[in-house]
Amino acid sequence: MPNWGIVRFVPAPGDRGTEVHVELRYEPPAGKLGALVAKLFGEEPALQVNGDLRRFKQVLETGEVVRSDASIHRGMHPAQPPVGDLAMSVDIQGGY
Amino acid sequence: MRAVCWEGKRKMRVESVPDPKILNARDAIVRVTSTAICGSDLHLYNGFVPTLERGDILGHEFMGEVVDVGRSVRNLKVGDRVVVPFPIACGECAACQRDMFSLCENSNPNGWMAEKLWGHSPCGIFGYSHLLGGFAGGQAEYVRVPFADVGPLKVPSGMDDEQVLFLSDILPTGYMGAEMCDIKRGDIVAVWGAGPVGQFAMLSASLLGAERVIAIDRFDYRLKMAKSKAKVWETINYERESVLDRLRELTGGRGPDACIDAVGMEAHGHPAMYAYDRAKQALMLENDRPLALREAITACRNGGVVSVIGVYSGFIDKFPMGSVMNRSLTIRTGQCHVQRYMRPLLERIENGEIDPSFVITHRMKLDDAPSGYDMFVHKKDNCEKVVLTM
Repeated sequence: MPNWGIVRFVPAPGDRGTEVHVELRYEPPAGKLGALVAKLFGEEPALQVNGDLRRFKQVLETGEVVRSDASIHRGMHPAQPPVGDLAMSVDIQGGY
Repeated sequence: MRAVCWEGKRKMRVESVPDPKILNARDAIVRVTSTAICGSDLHLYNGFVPTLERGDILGHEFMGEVVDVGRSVRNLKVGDRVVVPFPIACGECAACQRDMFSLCENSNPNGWMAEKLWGHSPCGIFGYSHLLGGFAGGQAEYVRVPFADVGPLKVPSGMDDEQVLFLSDILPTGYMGAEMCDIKRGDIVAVWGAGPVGQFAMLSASLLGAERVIAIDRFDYRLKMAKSKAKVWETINYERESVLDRLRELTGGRGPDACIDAVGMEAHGHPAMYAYDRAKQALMLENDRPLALREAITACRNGGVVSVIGVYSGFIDKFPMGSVMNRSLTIRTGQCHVQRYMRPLLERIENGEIDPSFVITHRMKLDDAPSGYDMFVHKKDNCEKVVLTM
């Protein structure tokens, strides 16, 4: 999907660290309808950018992306420890 | 391992589930030795907290022995005995740096859900819905503890589980409720709810210098405990007398200097008001029944503080804002920043000022948790606090 944008790093007021602003422009495959469909599946760029920014902050501040027992699965899932070696594959994924 | 799972409204089951594993480098795995059922677990049990899933492991009050640590955890080692605070907190974000641990900005992987309902996301919490992270809870044989290098408190040798278990939630929560009242010499503090958190709020209010503490509940056995164990001066059973009239009498017409709501979203009260709120709640027109909160606001003296530690989930109805505004009331509230209070309260336990174990009325095995929930929700057998061991 064609896209372009700007990332700005700005000092936050009151010595509260750095604000990261992302401006992203993109052309969804089927125009407005395509954007709506993407949103329904949680893949709309604004949602993805918000999630990415949240994880970026986590990595910078804590050194990792925190996982919960339910969030490592796709879709809603009981908050129980994952079965088998799923945990291992997530550990590798979580290292970015 | 065995774990206590929510299977639907008022249905808990002890199930066999996979053992937890280290998922992040700062995790630890704790073998649980004691865990408790919290009054706020009853809000989950009763199905009043959105985004709970069938099969979720509940429990956020627990302690035990460290059996595994991730590669970045340096302060804990296998074999350490720890109490784990219920708010999951990274220790590094702006909120944690200001000791506002329950507002940690990095511990809720489902922050976007909380943002939709509340505007911004608080911290993740063990076993407390997907809105607050989808973390498996501690009513289980083992539990994974994220950011284990920040939260868990090592238990000094010689102290038994029952002395320190409640540092995980209800003792600090009650204490913070009293601390938020900004108590001055001669103050009268009224506490709605004589459940375990209410008992600790009453006791803490005295420790922080309140001259008189008044307990309000509908169960005499709870009021009796408040009087004999939590240094309470006077009790009010709201099913037998008017709380507002009685508080006016007890305070020379002024009202209590501070009012603590230790009840939250499933309050009972005047039959007509209760029926109104219960009906709206059932129709999903409001999430919470704020009967105690309304009364606490109305009762409070002009310029006083209303401290809210009872749990609310969403929207409430008929909020007496006119009373708050015209009488210059201050409302203070929050999920407890447990990590801030654990050490100072441990000291108070060690030097004998507080023995939190007085609230325990029932000791059961983890396998009996479903009947523990049933007993607690129906206040059977004068139930105040259920502690589960393995």
